[in-house]
Amino acid sequence: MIKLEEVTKVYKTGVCAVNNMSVDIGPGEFVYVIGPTGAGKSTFIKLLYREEKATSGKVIVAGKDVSKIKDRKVPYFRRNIGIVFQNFRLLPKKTVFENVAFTLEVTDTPRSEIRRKVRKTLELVGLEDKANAFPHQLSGGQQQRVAIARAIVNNPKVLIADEPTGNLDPETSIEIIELLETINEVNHTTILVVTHDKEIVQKYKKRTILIEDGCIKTDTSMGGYLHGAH
Amino acid sequence: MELISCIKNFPKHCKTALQNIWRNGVMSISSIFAVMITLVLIAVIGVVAINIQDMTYNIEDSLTIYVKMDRELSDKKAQEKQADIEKLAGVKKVTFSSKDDELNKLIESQNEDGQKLFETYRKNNPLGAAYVVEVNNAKDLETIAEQIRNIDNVNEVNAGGSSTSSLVSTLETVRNGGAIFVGALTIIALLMIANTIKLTITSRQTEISIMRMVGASNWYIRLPYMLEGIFIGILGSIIPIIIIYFGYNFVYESSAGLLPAMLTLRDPFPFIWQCSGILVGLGSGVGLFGSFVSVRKFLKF
Repeated sequence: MIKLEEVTKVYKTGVCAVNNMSVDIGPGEFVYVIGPTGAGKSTFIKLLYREEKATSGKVIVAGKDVSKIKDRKVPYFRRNIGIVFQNFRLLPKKTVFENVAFTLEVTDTPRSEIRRKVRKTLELVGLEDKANAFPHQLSGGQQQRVAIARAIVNNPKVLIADEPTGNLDPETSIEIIELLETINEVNHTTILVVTHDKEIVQKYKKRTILIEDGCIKTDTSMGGYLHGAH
Repeated sequence: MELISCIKNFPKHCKTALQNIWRNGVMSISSIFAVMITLVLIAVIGVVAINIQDMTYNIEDSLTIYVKMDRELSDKKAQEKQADIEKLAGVKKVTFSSKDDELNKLIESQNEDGQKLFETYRKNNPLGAAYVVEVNNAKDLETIAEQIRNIDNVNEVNAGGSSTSSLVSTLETVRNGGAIFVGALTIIALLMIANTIKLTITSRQTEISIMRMVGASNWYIRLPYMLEGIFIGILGSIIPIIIIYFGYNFVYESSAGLLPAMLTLRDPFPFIWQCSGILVGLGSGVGLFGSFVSVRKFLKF
């Protein structure tokens, strides 16, 4: 589902954020990406949704060679990917329902189908009773659920979560991770979670990729933050 | 495919655009005001400039060359020369005035005494026939006069001399200066509008980045903003049009008896409608252009 072949990314400033990285993530996998700040985690996921272009090497996501996608076609490519951010990034002047429906509106989905899918997704994330609320009326955890609902409502093949628990307290963080696990099980979506949260990685043992200095330091299917260090 | 989607979603985009104007309250109002004020400025100065231009053309049109033929020449012979003058490049109209006509003019110009003084010359008219030559371009007055001088049997040619040529060049300076002034003002005003619209869109950068994140195509993002720009332009041009409508009518009415015939203002209709059309066009055009350019900045990869 996600495949990197000897990918290097050098920014215009000369910083080499990703250095000769190769990785293969299969369909339906749940993967944590961990590593210290500035290690290249963000660049790694930006390469996946074509926010950045690789300097050399091949990035293949959902069967498409990402660096070969024309600028014009990027929006269509992004419809295969759901993205969740640390700061939620909801449209503040739209209700929960409208925020989630927005993903479907841009793809010309018929109205009745939009209603059905949004309701189903809101049920999945446990917010069916908040459909008409505005983002500022919700707690952080609830806002993140809306963001997740928006990311998965069109059934993307890949869901990328960049520090999804970064702004949340530990209890809420666990709820969010459990929600992501449910999505992984129910929809068989490939999920990539970038995180700093040691507890979560230790508690829910999954495949974990440790990135340091733009390289993959360890890649273990057993999980655990301290693997290799001790 | 993208085009079809845009057309299909057009009503929805219109709705979004209007909704955005409404929800962005203060920002939209400030844009509308910026458009309004600049359009009022353009309208007032433009209307004044156009009328001044009209006046200068009227003055120039009234400038003619006066050609006196030899006194010995009979009316009939003199009239044969008309074709020679008409042949010259730049001549618009040639009016013949016979010996009698010339005498009548002379008598008229002397008011009451004219009849007494000159009527006796009717039988043995010492005046020659004459032509009044109108030219296409007042700048050519002198050159055409020179050419007429070279025609046989022409006694005297009067094109007004140096005072006329300096008048012509002054009028031209006024016209060109006015045109440059209005042009420059329009450009500045339009940049101002475009800049204000740019501000309102920059404040919504996050919104655009979210739209892009969920896979909205560039046109899907752009269209509501462009429509918003058009609507702001149209809303902003309403008051300038009202001002022009009532203001110009008022000025026209009150100037009617005051100005000499040569300096009349342009008829209010269809002039006002033409101005209104230009104002709406400018407003919406600049709105469209401004939002197109500012959104484009955020749609780059």
